[in-house]
Amino acid sequence: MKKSFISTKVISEIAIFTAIAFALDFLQGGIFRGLFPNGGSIGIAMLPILLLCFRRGFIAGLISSFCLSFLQMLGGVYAIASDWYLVFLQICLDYILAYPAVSIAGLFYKSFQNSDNKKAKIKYLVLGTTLGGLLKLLCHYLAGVIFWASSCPDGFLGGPYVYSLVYNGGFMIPNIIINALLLVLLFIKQPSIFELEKKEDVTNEKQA
Amino acid sequence: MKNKLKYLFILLVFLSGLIISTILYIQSFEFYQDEWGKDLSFNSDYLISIVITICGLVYSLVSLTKNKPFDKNAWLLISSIICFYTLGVFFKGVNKHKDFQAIQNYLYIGLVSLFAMGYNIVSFLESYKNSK
Repeated sequence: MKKSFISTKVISEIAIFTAIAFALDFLQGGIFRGLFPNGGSIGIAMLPILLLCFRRGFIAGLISSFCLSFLQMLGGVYAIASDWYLVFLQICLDYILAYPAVSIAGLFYKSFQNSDNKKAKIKYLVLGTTLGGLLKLLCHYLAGVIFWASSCPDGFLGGPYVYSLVYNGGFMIPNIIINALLLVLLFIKQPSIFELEKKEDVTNEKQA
Repeated sequence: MKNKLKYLFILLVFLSGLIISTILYIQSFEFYQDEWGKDLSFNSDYLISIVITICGLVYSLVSLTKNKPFDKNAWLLISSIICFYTLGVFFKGVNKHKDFQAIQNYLYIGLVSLFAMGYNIVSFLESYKNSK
């Protein structure tokens, strides 16, 4: 029988990982509300998405992150822009594209799975997390420059261009470091979490 | 047969929960606009109920179709979602200098679900060790 593109098991995983990421995002958002009043937080909400990217591939990660963005939007949207097309652009940068940018890490999925070298695998984990995190930072940075320039303090050196980088980098850089470290730690301690597909294939072959 | 009825009952509970939370969620829509911007908001309590009932529904469907007991992992997932969400709302309220009385329920629910999550993690690790 032909193997389906995304199995029921993967769909269930996407649902579960998305739900966990959403709840984690809520928790860290609440904790860091005082430190980042215009949004943003430090924590491990990116971790379930990254885990899914390296476990099931880019598409699964992308679906999960889009679901997460959609859930965040369902919780409420705040737009500072005046015109509706600008509101749409802001929503795209702040909500629709921010988390899916993280799923770019899934592009390293094949190299990660095919590699037999542990060090190379760790390199892919770090590379994927950094690239995904930097793309998310880019989304927030652009939204900051285009829409949140009014929140830049008067006389700030470099204006909104630098302020947006400092503000968004202030939570995204620690996010990248924390998530990359945890991902590597998880891989060292429990590599079977990442290599599930290989294990499942072997089981399927045995059953056949 | 008796088990199937039990799983069907759990499924119906989650399904009715999903319908009720969806209706309440839609009713909670608010739109606010001022000189700063536009604010479209919903009550996130109902949103998280929708997420939880969907997770429960997925697990109960698996139980019903495969005639397996309701997965222990489902309780771990549900308790962790409730814990993260309620504590998140509580901390957000604290940071916004809200009155403690208005947010204390979130703290209590969060703490109870934190203990439930701890218990579920311990039992999950035990069953994981046994399976090895």
